[in-house]
Amino acid sequence: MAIKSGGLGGILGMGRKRGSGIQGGIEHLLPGRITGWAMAKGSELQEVRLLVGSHLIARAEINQPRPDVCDQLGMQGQPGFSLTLPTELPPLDWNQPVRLLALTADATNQAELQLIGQKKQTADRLRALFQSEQLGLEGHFDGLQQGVLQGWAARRGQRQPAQIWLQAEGLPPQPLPCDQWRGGMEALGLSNQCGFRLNPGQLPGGWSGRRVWCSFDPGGQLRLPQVEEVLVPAGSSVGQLTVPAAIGEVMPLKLGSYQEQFDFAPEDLREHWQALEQFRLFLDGFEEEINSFERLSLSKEASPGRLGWLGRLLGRC
Amino acid sequence: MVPVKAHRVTPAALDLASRPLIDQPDCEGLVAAGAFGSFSSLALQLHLQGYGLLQIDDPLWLPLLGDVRAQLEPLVDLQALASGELGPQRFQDAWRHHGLACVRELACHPEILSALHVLYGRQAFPFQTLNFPNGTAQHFHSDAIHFHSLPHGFMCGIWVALEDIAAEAGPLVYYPGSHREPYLRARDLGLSQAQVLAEAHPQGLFEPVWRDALREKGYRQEQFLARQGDLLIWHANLLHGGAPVKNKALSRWSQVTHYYFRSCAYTTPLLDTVDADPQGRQWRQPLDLTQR
Repeated sequence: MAIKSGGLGGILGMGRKRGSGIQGGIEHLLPGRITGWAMAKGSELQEVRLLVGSHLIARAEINQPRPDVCDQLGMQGQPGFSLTLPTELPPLDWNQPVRLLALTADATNQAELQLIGQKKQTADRLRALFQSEQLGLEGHFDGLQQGVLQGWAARRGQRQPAQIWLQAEGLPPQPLPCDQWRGGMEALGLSNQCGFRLNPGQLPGGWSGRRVWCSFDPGGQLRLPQVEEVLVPAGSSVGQLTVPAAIGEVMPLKLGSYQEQFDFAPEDLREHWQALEQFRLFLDGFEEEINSFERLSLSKEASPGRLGWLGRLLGRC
Repeated sequence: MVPVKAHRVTPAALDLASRPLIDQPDCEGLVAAGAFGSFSSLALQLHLQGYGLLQIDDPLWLPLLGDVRAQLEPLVDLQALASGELGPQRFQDAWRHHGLACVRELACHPEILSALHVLYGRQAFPFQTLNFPNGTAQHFHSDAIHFHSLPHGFMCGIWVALEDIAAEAGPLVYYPGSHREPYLRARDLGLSQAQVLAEAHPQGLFEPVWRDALREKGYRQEQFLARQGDLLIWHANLLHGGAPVKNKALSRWSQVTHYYFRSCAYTTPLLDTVDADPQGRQWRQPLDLTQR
């Protein structure tokens, strides 16, 4: 149980776990990593341990600098932690408690850490993550650099490239295969073929000027870390590539019926296509009128080398 | 024959949080700090090369190996072996299927278990034995597609020469450094259960990947021309196999024992296919030969 704390302290989750003197919590819950901080008055915390029942899933030392936390608490130390999650798990009984503990070296002082601002959801969020297909994925959305949206995602020890999703509010997510060369990743235990690069000009029209982010999951719940807000430059989208038919499914524009493509197109593209379609219908009607007129004429004389409607429109008849 | 009990392992509490000591990125630092005691050079060799020789000091070691061979010989057509007409032969879990207690005794030798504990940082237990009277000429492979663990790397093989091994007898071969290649599962190759089950020797599905790795990384083959009693430990992922048998009339008596370590989940990566049930047959409950 935590004591409430207001202002910056509240944002940092500075409630105190009753009896333990331990303060802290989980700040970021990512598929491959849990980060946060923990501090105790009167004792030095050594590590965090992630447990499912009696099974130890992961552990990490509490040893990362967090001057913001130290300033707020008026304490010294390195209370940050970054816990790497496993890339796969054996079958486990998910009815068992799922807990992240911060504890001292001799384990005499320990407390359960919870998601800052979402304490009651902590166990459920952890359970859902552990059972998700995205478990173990790591990545970063670098943003728009030299006019290209870029970043990386991968799973340690995995040969096959990961796939992530570009998201914008109200738009179907765009799949981003992470299979492009990005040097230096092997040093992190990842494949060097884990980068993604996307020219915003390849996005459908509706993405122009929109705020975008990347997620590990098509639903957009598990976001890739990013440093700052990213906007697709206005007017950069030309709708040349693909339009997602639904979450998790992609239909290239050149495939599928006109109506299917139309149904899944962004709104501004639909207006444009609708105008073109009306003009096409007008031309079809016009051609039909010419054909009717010709049928009447042909009954009187033969007409060699008959041209199509466009040729006739251009005055080549 | 006295019935042999076979105990299977289901850890009450898993520890998925640590790697084998010999696989730690700072293994060399651990060596320098004396973490491996008298096994320092062996630890470094396993870390860097993926194999190493363990010296057994037990004065009863060679007599034990003699017992193993003597008790296996009646199971083999020695005449066919001497005339070069015996094909590759092996006895899996002879302690269980043929009641040979000495095979189990060798597998559970306290010096081996003690060394593995120090090198890996967890208690080891043997879960399978294989005895060979002659060369296998087996294609090089990583054992880690047949049996592996979570966390990765808590499995190893031990090869013991029950006699002096001649170069023409098809000695054990291995590729130092190849243990650093990524661990493979069937799903990593996009294989389905049907594809794996359709193969009489599904290991063959992985062999092109290993051949590519050898070609691209230039790993060099080494032979283990062992003397009787020599013991080689190899890393779970070291590519190894049997050299061609140039003289089929030569025997190559040996025992291979595979070891797991406590508090792990145990897997058969060959069965971890793209369509595998998450709770399916890829999860193992291995035997524990130390439990009687």
